[in-house]
Amino acid sequence: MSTEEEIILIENELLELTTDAEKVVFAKKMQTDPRFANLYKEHKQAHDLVILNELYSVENDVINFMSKKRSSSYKKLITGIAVASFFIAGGFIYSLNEKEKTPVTSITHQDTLTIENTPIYTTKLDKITHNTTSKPKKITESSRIYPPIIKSRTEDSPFTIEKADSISVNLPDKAKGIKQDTADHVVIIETIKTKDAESNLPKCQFSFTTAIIVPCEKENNGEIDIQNLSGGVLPYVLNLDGVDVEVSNNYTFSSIGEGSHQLIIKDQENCDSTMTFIVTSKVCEEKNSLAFSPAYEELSFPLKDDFEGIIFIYDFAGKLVKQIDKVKHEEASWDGTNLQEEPLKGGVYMTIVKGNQEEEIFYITLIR
Amino acid sequence: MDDKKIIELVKYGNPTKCLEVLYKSEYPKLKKYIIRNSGSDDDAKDIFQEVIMTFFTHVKLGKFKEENQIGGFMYIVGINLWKKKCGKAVATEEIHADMISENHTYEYLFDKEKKELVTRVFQQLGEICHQLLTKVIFERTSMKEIAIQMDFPSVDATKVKHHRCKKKLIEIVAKNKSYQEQFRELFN
Repeated sequence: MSTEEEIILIENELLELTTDAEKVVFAKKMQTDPRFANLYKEHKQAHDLVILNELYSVENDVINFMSKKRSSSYKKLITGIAVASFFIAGGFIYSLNEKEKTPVTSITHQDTLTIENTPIYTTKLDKITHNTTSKPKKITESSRIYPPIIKSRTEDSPFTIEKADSISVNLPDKAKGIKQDTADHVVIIETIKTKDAESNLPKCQFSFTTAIIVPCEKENNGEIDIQNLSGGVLPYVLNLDGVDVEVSNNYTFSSIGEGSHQLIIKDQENCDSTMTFIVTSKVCEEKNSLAFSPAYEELSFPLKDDFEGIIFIYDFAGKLVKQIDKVKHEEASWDGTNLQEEPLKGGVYMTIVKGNQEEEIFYITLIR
Repeated sequence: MDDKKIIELVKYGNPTKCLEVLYKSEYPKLKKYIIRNSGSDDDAKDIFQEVIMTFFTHVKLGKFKEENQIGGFMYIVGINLWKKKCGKAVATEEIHADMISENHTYEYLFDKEKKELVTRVFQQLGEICHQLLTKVIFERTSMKEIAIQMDFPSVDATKVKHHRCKKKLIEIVAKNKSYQEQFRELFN
């Protein structure tokens, strides 16, 4: 065999392209020809170096991938906290976020702001911030107008406006004299909910308190509890994730799993509002720990009678040590032996039970 | 996607294509274990990152035994990494030795010093050889396809270039004693 042929054989071996006959030749040469063995070692090293170098870029991709997973969890956590704060405080007007900034771009004349088409159902306004960029000398920083003065409404603050309402706010002296084009202005209304807002709920607003029982991971054992529902005309129809239920003031939705759930509240006059619950999940206590001693008994797997699938048992090094078939209406048991029917050492074994659509894990302590 | 397909994808292509599948199927089990053992979601993600790289490295370097299931392998490596991180010994002496060497491979191969060393070698090798060897060895692309992709005049010319590149890589390592010593540590 020429050196060129030897190199081709080595490369094919490294790329797993050798035929059975070539494998035999390769093994024989490795045993009997030290020069060939050394040549193989050099090529293997080069081969592994190329792989390793590329794995470094793969590692960066993996890090980026996991970073995205981290940031999505973070967002989820923040949402969870926001939702949780909503629930804990309770009794809020349904349609507002805790603090929502709504940019409004219409300013009709220099001394009065007219705010049109507020894109939220009900806004409780207690602060207006007027920012400008074109005349920094006139207004050098955000001018906070507090309390706001409303031309056409009560001057009490905080106050409530409705969707599509138009309100006018007299600018205080500090902000007067702005003559530039209105396009340069952005008015930000900060809506801040306080309990005062509940006292004078207009039609189509509902208030309630709610609590969530967080489900276990991958299970639907959570609950969303709606209590003291008021506002609108009784009875209400609550629709959670597409299912209607007629209620008076209180109702508990059960079988709730992790994820986003949409609740629509509708009253007898067809006023409705929608809100979303982000339900997180918790890790529940591991129930799938089993222990047995083959000297006294076989381990019977706690599986449903009609379950059909395969039970894979692994040792702590991840090696498959036993495989057991579970047939419908028959019990599946393990006597503590391996695939060769030899007794296994005592220790913890991980078991994956695989059915057609389900998978379950058991941790089995084998006691000798 | 079953184990066979995942292994084929990792072995013969870009391993990152199965990240989402592995994350969905294997991460929840590991997360459950780590949280049950005083860890957080972030800890679980850190460990999972290392587990993924250990798995890719094992498959790419031909160390992954195909009779092992991916789920079992990743779970066990994850448990062991977490125990090591917590400073706990693993269950038995035998297992300890086995798993330490597995994890050691990953940690050792991916430390900063080794990365710099390997990068230096490939800088000396040149871009064309780097690309060509990567396509042959890492992506397992055929010579015919490489000839088209890299604009070589023929398959034979590609083979010749490949042999020269590999020879050059072997020479770079052989000429430098420091490289030899460190690479002996890397792959032994």
